[in-house]
Amino acid sequence: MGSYSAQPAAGNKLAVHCERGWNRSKRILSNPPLLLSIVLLIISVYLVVVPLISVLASSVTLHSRDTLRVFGKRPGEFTTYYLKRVFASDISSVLFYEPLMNTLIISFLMSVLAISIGTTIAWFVTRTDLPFKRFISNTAVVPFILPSWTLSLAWLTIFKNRTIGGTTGILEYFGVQLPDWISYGPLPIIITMALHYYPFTYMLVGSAFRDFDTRLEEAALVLGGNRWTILRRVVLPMVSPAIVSSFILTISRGIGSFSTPVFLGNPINYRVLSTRMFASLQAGSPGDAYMIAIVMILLAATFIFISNRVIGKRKSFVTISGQAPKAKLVSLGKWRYVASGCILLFLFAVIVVPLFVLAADTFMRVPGVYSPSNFTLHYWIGKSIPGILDGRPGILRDADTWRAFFNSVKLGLSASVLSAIFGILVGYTVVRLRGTWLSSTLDQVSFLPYLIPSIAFGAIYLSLFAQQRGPIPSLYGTFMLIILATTAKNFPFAAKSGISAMIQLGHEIEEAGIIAGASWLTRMRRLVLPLQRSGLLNALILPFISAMRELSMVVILITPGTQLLTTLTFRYSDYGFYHMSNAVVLLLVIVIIVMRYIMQKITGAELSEGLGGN
Amino acid sequence: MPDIKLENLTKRWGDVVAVDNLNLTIPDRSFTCLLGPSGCGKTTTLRMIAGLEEPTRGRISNGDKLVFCSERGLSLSPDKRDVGLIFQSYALWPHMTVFQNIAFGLEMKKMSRSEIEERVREAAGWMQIDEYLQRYPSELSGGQQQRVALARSLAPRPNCLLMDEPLSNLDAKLRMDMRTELKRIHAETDMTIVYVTHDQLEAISMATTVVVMKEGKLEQCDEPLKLYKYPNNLFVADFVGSPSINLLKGKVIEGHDVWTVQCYDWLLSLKRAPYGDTAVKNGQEVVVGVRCEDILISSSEPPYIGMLVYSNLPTGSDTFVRLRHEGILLTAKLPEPDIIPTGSEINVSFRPGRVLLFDGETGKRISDGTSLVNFQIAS
Repeated sequence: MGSYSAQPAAGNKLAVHCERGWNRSKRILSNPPLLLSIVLLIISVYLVVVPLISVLASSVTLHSRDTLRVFGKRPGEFTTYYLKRVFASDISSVLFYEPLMNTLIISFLMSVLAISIGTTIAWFVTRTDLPFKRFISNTAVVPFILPSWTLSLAWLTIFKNRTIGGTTGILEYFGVQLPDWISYGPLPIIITMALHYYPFTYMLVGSAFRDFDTRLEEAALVLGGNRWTILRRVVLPMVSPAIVSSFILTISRGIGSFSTPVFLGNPINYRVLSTRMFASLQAGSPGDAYMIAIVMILLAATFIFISNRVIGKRKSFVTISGQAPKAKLVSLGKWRYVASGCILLFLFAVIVVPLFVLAADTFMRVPGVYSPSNFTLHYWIGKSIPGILDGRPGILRDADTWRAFFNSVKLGLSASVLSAIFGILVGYTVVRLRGTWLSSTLDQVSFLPYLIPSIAFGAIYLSLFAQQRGPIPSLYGTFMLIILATTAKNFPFAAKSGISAMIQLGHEIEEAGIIAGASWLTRMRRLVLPLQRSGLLNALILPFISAMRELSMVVILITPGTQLLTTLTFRYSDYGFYHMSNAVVLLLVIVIIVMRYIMQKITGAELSEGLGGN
Repeated sequence: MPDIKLENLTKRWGDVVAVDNLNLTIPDRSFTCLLGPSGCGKTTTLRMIAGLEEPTRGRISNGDKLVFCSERGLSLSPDKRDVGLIFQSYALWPHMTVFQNIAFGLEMKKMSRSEIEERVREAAGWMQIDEYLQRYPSELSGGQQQRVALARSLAPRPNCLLMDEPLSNLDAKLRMDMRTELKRIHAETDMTIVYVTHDQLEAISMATTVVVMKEGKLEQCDEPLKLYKYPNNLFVADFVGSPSINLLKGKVIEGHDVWTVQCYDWLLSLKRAPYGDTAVKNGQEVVVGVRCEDILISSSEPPYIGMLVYSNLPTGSDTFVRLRHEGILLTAKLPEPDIIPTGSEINVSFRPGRVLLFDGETGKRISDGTSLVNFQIAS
C-alpha cells in the first residue's frame, strides 16, 4: 500500500464522501472478526431463534389433520384452536392442568430432597474432618454423570409390581405385595430424580462452603458462639444464596425432565408436562404438544432468571474478603467414622446397588432366582431363540446394538467437535467485539438453548425441520437433524467456556501479533489456537458425555434408522424387554465412566460443572 | 522531521468520550510521556497511534505519511505504521521460546533465516538476554520478561516505540534499573518513544516531553521541569510533584500595584507578574500555589509569618514538616533531614520568584513565578 499524503484531499465534498465510503467498506470487508461474528450469528439464529419462532408459530397455525374440527379455516391459517384446547376446554385438565400440577409438585419435592442430601454431603466433605474425604467427594458426583434413568430402571427391577404385567421386580418375586404408589408414580419419581440431581447441589453449595472465609467463623468463635450456633447463624446464612440458587436450578431441570417420569409414571398414566407433550406428539397432535412446550420453556426460563438474580446477590457476599485462610475444619470427634460410614453406605445404595441390580438382572434367566442354573449370558451374547424377546439375540450379538453404539459415538464426536469449534469462535468474536451489539447479541442468542428444556428443544426441531422450508429440505429422519439439535443444545456451554477461555487469554497476546504484522489467519493459527488446546479438550469431552447419555431431546427426533444407545434402551423398556434395556444401560455406563476417566487423566480436572442436560 | 501529529483526535464509546478533540505533536526522537490519572484517555491515545483502536474522528500522521483520517475513511493497519508496542502485561507468547518470540515479527516481514538469526541475536545482545533465547517466557522472571518484550519490539527496528505502563508490574528496585535501560535505548537509537504512565515521578525523570491528560483532554504539554515549575493549571500543579504542591484558597482584595490576597487572616502581598489572558481583579477568587521545597523555614528576613509545627514526616533523606495556622496546613521540606519538635512556633516565608497564582474558577495559572512583598496578619 502506498503512503497517503498528509495534505487533505483537495476538491469537492462528493469526492471526499466517495473516498471515505470506499475506504471504510474496504476495511469492514477485510475485518475477519466482524465477518466471522456475522456468520456465527446467522448460524445461531438459524439453529436457535428460527426454531423458537417456528414453535410459537406452529402453536397458532392450523395443522391439516385438525381442519375438520375447525370450521372454515384451511391448514396453515392462524387459529386459537390449540390455545383454547390446551388451556380452556373439557380436556384441558387432562391435557394440561393435571400434568402441570404433577410437574410442579414433583420438581418442588424432588428439589427439596436433592438440596437436603447435597448440602449435607457438601458440608461434611468441605467443613469437617471426615475420613475418606477424597473418595467420597469423587464418588458423590457419579449419579449425575450416569444417564438419569439408570435409577428408574433399577427401581423397576427391584420394586416393579404385577399391575402392568410382564416380569415383576425382585421384591414381588420374593412374595412381597407392593402397592402401586411404591412401584410407580410420584414417590419413586421424586426419589430417583432427587438421587440423580443432588450432586448438582453438592457441587454448587460445596464450592460456596469452600470459598467461605473462615475468619468470619473465627470472629463468631472469639465472641463466644458454639459450633452449632455458628453453623446456624453464620455459615448457613452466608451460603444460603448458593443453596437457594441450586434449588431453583434443580426445579427448572425437573420441569424439563422426561426419562424418569416416562419410565416410572407412564405405566400408571401418571403424566407430567414432558411426557404429556410426548404423548401428544405420538398421538399426532403437534399443536397441543407445541403449546405445552412453550409453557415448559416459559417455566424453566423464569426459574433460571430468578436463580441468576440470586447468584448475583451471592457474589456480593463472597467478595467481602480477598485471600481466605485455609479452612479450619469442624472436628467431629468420635462421630467422624459414623458420619463417613453413613455417607459411604448412602453412596453404596445409590450407585453400587442399582448398577449391581441391573447387572445381575441381565445374567438371570428368571429374575430373583440366585442359583447357578438360573445364570445365563443369553441377554448379552445369546443366539436368537424364537419366543424369547421376539427372538432377539443377546445385545452384543445384535446388529441393532452395534448400530446404535456407533451412532451414539458418531453423535457424541460430531456434536462435541462442532460445538467446540462454535464455542471457540464465539468466544473469540464476543470478546474481540465486546461493546458492540453484534457481540452482545451473539452472546445472548447462544445462551438461549439453556432456557429451553431438552424435550421442548427436540419438539422445536421437529416442528421446524419436519417439512421442507424454502431451500432447506426436510431433515426429519436424518442423522444430520440429531447432530444439529445436539450441537445447538450445547451452544450455551460451548460459548461460555469459549468466552471465559478468551477472556483469560486477554487481547494483548493477539495484538502483539497485529503489531508484528501477522495476518488474521496467521494470528489464529500460530498465536490464539495453540493456547486454547487444553480448554479445547475440556470443551470436547463434556459435550461428548452429555451427547452420549442424552435421551429426552433425541427421543422425539429419532427414527428406526437413527437409533442411539439411549433411545434403544427406551424402546426395549417400552416393549417390556427389561433385560435388554438394562444391558444397554450398562454398556452406556461403561462408555461414560471410561470417557470420564480419560478426561480426568488428560486434563487433570475434577468434574465440577458444565455437565448440562436433564 | 517525522513528527507524529494528532489532529482533533476523538474517541467515543457510546456516550463515553475517552479522548476529546486532542491536538498534539510528538516531536521526532523525543521521549514523550503521556501522563494522567487512570481513565484519562492516555492508553486509548497510544492504542490509536498504534492502530489497535480506531478513532471516532480526527487525523493521525507520522511525518508526511497519513496513517489515519476519519474524513477520508483511511486507516493504515498497525504493521504499516512502523511502530513497536510494549504491553503492560508484556504479552509474550507463552508457547514460544524467547527466540521464537523475537523472531516472529521478523518472519512476518519475510526476512531470510540468517537475517532473522542475526537480528534476534543483536536485539537479545542489546537487552542482555542472550542466554535465555531457548527458554520459555514462564521460565523467566518479571524483569527478564520485560527485557524479552523490549527485544521483540526492537528487533524489527521501528521508528517509533510505544509503551503502555511497561514498568507497572515490576518491583521498585527493578523499576529503577529498567528506567535506566529505557533511557539508554532512547539515547543510543534514534527512535521516538511514546510512553504511557500514571506515575508522575516516572514521567518527570524519564521524558523529554510530558503530556498531561485529564478526562480525554490535553492539559499541558511541556518539558518535565517546566511542567513542574510552571504548571498551566491547578490540575497539573496538583498531579505533578510529590508531596503535592501547597494550595491556598483566597480572595484578591487589592489588584493594582501589588496583588494582595486574603486567606483566612493572612494577607499575602505579591509582586505583579501577570501571565495568560486573565487579568487579576479585586474580589477574584484565587488559589496560591507553593511547592514544599519553596517554603522557607526560620526566615529571619521579612516578609515572614509565624506557624505552628503540626507533625514531622522524616523519610531518611528528607524531612517534611506539616505546619498549621488556623485552617491552613502547609507541607514544607526542611533543608536538612532534621526534626522540629511538634508544637514549636517557627517563621515561614516563600522562596522569591516561586509563588504561583491560579484563577479560583477556571483553575488556570494567572501569574508567572512571583515573590512575596509583604506577609502579615489581617488586622
